[in-house]
Amino acid sequence: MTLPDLIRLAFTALVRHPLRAGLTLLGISVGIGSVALLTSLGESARVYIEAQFAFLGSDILVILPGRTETTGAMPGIGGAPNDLTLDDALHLERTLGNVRVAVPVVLGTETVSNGERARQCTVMSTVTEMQELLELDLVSGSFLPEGDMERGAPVVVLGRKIARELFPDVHPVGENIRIGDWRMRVIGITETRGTHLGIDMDELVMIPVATGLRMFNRTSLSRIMARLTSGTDAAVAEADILALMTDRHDELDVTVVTPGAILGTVGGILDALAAALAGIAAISLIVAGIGIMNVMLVSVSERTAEVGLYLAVGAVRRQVLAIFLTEAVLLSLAGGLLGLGGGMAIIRLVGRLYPEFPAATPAWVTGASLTLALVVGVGFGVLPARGATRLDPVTALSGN
Amino acid sequence: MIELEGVGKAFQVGEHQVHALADIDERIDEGEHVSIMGPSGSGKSTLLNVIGCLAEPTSGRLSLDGRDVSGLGSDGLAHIRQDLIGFVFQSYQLISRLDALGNVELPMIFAGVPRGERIERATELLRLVGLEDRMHHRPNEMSGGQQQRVAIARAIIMNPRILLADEPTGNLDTQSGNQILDLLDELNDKGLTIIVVTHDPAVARRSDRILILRDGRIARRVSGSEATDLASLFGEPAT
Repeated sequence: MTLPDLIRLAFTALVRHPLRAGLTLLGISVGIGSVALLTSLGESARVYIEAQFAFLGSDILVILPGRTETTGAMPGIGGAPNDLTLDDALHLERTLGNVRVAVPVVLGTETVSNGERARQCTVMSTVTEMQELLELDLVSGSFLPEGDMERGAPVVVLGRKIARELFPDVHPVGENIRIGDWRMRVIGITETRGTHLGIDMDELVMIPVATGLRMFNRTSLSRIMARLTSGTDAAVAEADILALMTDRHDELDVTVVTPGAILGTVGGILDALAAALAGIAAISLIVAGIGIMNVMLVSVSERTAEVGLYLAVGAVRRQVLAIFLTEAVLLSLAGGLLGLGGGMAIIRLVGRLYPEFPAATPAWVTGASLTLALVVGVGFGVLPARGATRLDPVTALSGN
Repeated sequence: MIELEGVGKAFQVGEHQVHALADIDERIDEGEHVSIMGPSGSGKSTLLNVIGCLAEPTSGRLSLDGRDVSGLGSDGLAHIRQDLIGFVFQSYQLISRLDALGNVELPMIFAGVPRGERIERATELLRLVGLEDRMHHRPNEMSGGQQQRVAIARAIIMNPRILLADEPTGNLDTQSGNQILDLLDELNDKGLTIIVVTHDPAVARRSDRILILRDGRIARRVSGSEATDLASLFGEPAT
């Protein structure tokens, strides 16, 4: 008895009940489809988030006000911290040998406008060293001026996209724009960079830190970003920074976040999420599997005379098992292919709707989905099929 | 060809043991054409199923073609059925979703005959039973007589030594029934051992010998020509 024989016997049996087979197949395809879809989305999310942090490099640390574990969770919980100041940034850079550059950052949101054209933008107030730290390239003009920690000129560097939106017709460098009530002169435009750390760098507006402190009426920094001298151990640098800040603030009230820690945390969240999604998918697969089992039980009980005939003409029990198992596997594999196709189509659609999201179905998901379909077919088909093999030939022939 | 020694078959029905067959001693030679008759419940079909290795006797010994088939187990019996036996049933037992060719092919599928050879042999046999123009018809597209001829083609496709038929004409009108019986005679003439279970004396008359069962035992043995009417057959044996 060859595989083509088995498939022909199983296929002709399945197509006799197209609705029944179709609905069972649909159940399986929903189960396999959700497995493929959810694991693909999980993988894509991981790739996306890792790309978000990859540009930071392992030699960049972020110092945040507030005391938490270095988990990347929300700082500021647990006690009122001392402010992070410009002095802190200067001190870090000057005192610690393993910090090459420490850059103050104040983040805020403000309306940026050129005449009638206006939009809400993230405004990053920082210093000239930020260009080196983030390795930003300029399309034209210059970056924030040097030696401007305290004074703050009314100048602005625009992301490429926001520059194009505000100045569709004119070259922006040298033109004036408004940020809130402030009149600022555009001095440079950064090269396209994409979204990083949740901030679209192409829509980012950068101004001198002193200007930003006044604009947002603040005395403290949102964060300090530090780049380590090459060959420095990030863990040692982290300890040094924490020691220095404790010394300056008389208590440990800052949090140092390393890209590794962020990735670790996010990875942990993603793993938990993936496990939860896999659980949901598994439930739908089990339901679909029970559907297969049910259909096969009905099929066997309807076809006892057929089983009796098989036995009468010389089929051994193993062959009867194979016939019914093939039906279950055909159903589940067809459903698996359909579900996989559907899942991949949805992933492709997601990729088209959100081009910046790297939506893709990894090859291992394809393989795993089909393997899973096979396992479900065999697993849930074996009980009904074994029922068929246990029939007594004479009783089976009588159709009872 | 077929030897039964003290063969019995008992069923457990609730607390009672029912002896469908008891102490059957019989010998059927190669090429014989034997009918089994008897009132319903006398064990005709059970005897046929035991000879056909579909049911195992609970006592005694059965040998087919010199092979003792007692205690062979279900797969062993399946191989005996494949090698030696062809079945014809009253209700044809064709697989409704397969065409005539597919039904005749079936035993060869289980025997592992390659597809090309299967189709060749099945076509040849369907031609032999006069159904060359019904090859791709499904059972529900054929008359009862045609379906039974497909079933006979299927029964002999593996070149069995014994053909067992349980009321082969029971569902057929006289004319179709006679065609089937002619076909069986033809096969018998070619040397095939045939055993037919029937309640119809007209069928039994065609056989060499008639075994008459009553209460699971062979009550009488008569020759085929003696099967004139039911009353004389089922009457008390002359002593």
